[in-house]
Amino acid sequence: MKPIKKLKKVLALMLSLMMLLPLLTACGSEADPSAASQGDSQIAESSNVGDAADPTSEGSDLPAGIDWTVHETFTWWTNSRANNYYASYNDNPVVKYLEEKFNVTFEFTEPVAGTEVDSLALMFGTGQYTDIVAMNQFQSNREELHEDGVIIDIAEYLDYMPNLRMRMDADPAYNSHLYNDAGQFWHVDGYTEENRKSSYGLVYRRDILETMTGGNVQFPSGSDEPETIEDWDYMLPLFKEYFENLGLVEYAPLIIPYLGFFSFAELTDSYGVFPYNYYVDGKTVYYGPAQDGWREYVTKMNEWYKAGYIYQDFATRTQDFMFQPNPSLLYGNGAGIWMGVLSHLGDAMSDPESDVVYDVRPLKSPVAEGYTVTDQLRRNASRSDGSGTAYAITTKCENPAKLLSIIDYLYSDEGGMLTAYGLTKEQIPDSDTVYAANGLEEGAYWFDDNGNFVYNPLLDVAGGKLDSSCFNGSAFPGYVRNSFGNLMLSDEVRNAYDKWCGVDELTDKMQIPPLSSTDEEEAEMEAANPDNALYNYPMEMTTKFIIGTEPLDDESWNKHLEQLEAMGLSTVLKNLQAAYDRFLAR
Amino acid sequence: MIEKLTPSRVIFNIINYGILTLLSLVCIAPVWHVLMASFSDPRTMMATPGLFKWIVGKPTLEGYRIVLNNPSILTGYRNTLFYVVAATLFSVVMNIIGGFALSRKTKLKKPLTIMLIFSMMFSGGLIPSYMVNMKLGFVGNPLALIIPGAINGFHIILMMNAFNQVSSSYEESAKLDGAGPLTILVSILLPLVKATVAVIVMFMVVQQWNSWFTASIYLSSRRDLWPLQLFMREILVQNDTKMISAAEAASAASLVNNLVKHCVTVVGTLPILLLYPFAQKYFVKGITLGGVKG
Repeated sequence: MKPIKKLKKVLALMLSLMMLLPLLTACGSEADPSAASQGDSQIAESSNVGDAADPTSEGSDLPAGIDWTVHETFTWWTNSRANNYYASYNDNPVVKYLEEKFNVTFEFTEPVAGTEVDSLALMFGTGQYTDIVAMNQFQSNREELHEDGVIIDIAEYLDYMPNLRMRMDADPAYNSHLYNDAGQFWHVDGYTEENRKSSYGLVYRRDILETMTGGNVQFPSGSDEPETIEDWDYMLPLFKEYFENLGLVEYAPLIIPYLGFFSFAELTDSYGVFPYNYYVDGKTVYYGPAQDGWREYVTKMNEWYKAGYIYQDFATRTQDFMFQPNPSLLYGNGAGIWMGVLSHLGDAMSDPESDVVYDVRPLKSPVAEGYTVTDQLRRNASRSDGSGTAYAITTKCENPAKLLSIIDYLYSDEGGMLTAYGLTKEQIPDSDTVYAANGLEEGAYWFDDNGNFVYNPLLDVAGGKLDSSCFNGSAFPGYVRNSFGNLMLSDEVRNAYDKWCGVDELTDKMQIPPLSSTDEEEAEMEAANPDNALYNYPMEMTTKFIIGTEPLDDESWNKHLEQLEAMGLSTVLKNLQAAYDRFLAR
Repeated sequence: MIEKLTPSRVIFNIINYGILTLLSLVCIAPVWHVLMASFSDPRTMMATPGLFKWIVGKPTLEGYRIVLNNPSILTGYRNTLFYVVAATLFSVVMNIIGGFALSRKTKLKKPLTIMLIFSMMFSGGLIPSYMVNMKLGFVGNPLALIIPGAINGFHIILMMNAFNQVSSSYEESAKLDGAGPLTILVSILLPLVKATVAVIVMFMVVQQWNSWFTASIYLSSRRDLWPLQLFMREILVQNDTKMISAAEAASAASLVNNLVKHCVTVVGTLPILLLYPFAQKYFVKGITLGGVKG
């Protein structure tokens, strides 16, 4: 064979081998320093605590028992916080403050907005997780993550978290929220000083009622605002007549979601029930669609639907935003009552080029005859801010005690101001550029000479243009001291919160909290209710009852109950009750 | 030769053109709607249901002003142009070489072709791919958008078929003149399969222009390397998020968010829309060339 030809063959073979080599790169793995076989106790022992000389000098406000002289880096996976003020959350001013205070560096990893679920799955699937991970987009069982050796049991580190323990001891509902039945807990989250409010709720067009009654609106309940189903029976025909007088072909005195109910129990709790799932009333677990109140709800909706008070095509609007259903009706002067947001209130939705001035007001979930407000459901089960800022510590973290100590600071009164509002002038670290670049040299807030809380007027919460959430520590878990901010709310917003969430102070009924079932309970429930038919069935039946496809007589109601029973309702309720009893005992 | 129009031919033409016109309208209507909406008054747009035939309300450039003033958009355009050019060049070269190799009559031709087709139908999934690319150092590296996706089984098969269509006499006479395989490929075969190469170029350009998912996985922490579509997606998702958590946002802001969505769509799509008609003739020629025997 000629030498050149042979050389070419050798080169071609080498090229082929080089191209094949990447196929083998993923084979084998490096020893994982935090392998699943390591128990939490081993990790606790490896932390530099206890025997280390206490580095805190006299007067230092850093927690004792941790060596703060050693600079450490903690990696942190959080949801996308993209904004126009800084390129990554590493540059958030509160982060800079905490880094300087505790002699640490935080390295944030933010997935692209909208890809959090994929990013989390990828991170856990490849084992390349950060020290601390935001869990609100995690869709599987957190207990399994612990069993797989991915996340730690934070309960074992409560000795390093006196502030959090104080909050838990003071609020049994929050305590139950964090722990599972075995006395473990997997995440830390935000805990609000005052009850959480809601940015959304039912709203109605007061201006239409004023127009139709000549300014003489008289609700049957005698109240200035609608409070009962009878008040709605008074309002809805007025809306319908108004729209018909305008000659509108398409209109909606009441817009309900395509499933036939509001997900947070508005209107269904007028009859004391949660629309599609389980709820608790003090100590007992109930299933909403099996209650007489549910039948009364769908009966009333059917009556309103047949009268033309409910948007006739509601079942087709599957792509509508919950908080802005059917924008063409809302902004086209064709809707009377809908699920709205704070920004809909007042005359904000008015068309500047027409004579129509909207007056949108918040609306309480009405009370039906034979029921009282204590039959309604709470909007917030506890003062946890829900899954918004839930974080788990992974087994990759080499010093969880230190990390949790830092997080515990955020549960203190001082730390709570950071999470809720941001930094004062004195707290702005030397390394910060963001506050200065945006004119916030005086800090995000201060207290005036009379001790009154004052927002920096440049922030949106004070009427300015800067997005306040980018200048505070709202991404962190901790104590959210919202009491000061609540004092600054406008009357309009305060009124809305009262209408939408005021029931929280009056009732113990709420949607069933997340429970821990035993393996036997899970297996029994799965066998009795395969494919979670009890969840899907009412979704389907509500619309059918409302539209009238399914009749609402005694026979069909009994058939509905029999169907639920055939789907294993009694078995599921029995097991959920057992799990709830353990929840109450946490 | 002028074809005589029989009555049946006329009827067929009417129905044929009618259906194609209808299909064209179905395709054009949403594009036109988005274009019109991007210039429309935000509030009037919300109050107007259905597809827009023309701009509704007072025309405005507010949406474009917001989008084009966003510094990320310029970064995105710059990065996307780089990825489009680099990835297309690299991919076309690799696919041409692959197609040429498979078009040669060798003992490995059949097994390699089967392997290639197998890879077109099955893949390891996201996690194994990520682990391989991570080991190769592609995480946080722009090469993640150029190298891993360069080889495309369908493109190799297209090239292979295109090379097979070329008469062997060209190759034989070149060999007689002393040409080696490289000379045959570059000087003889490539000029004859230009149309197919153009098809592959267009496929890659469109694929790279629209690509965002790969960047979201491998470049999530490197905003300076994000392609345009990823910034666009972030703008769209963020605007939806702002509408939900509109506790203190003015109503006007949430209306403008809707306008911005339409402007973002136009800004992201317009270059490709303008380029396509000029490449269309190559499409038809190239796709059919790969499928015709003899």
